[in-house]
Amino acid sequence: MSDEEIASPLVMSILQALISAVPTIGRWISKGIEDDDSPLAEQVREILPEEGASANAVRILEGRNPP
Amino acid sequence: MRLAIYLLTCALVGCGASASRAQARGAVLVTAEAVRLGDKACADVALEKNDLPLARACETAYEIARASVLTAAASVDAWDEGKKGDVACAIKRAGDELSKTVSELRARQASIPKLIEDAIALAASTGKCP
Repeated sequence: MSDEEIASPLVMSILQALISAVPTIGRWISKGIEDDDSPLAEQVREILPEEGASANAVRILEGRNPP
Repeated sequence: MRLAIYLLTCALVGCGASASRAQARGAVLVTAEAVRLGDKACADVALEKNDLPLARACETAYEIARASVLTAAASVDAWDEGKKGDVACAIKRAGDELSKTVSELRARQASIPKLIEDAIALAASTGKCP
């Protein structure tokens, strides 16, 4: 068996492993950016949406007790 | 995690100039989480007790606290060591609104999560507000 015949399946399996790992690597990269580089104001907007739970409660309670 | 380690190190051995930004960042995130938690607790009590005035009071407090936390966060993003008082003032305003929510909840015998009490204490001690 020549060197080329031995190397070819090895190269193919490495390539397949790399291709199958692309989504995972992509998630690591995007998670890293999200954790370290997103502006603090953006993080706060995610924690505190424009309409809070009490605003929602006001709507529900106004529906229960119409004026 | 890195932020927690940094703040712990800072508390134990003291910090340099950049530590004040790290402390401000931590205070902003803790305050934001406390505002969210307080708003949720308030909504739960208001719905359970059919208490529209409580829900309205908490809605107003949430809006003001949210705006203040966002102002503080924007100041941290555009960090200027000379203007760190702006962050302290914004955090204090959010803490004041959170205190109003807590007062409303206490008046209705609702329990207050420790995170909220700690965030109010932290907001009151976050640097000097000029």
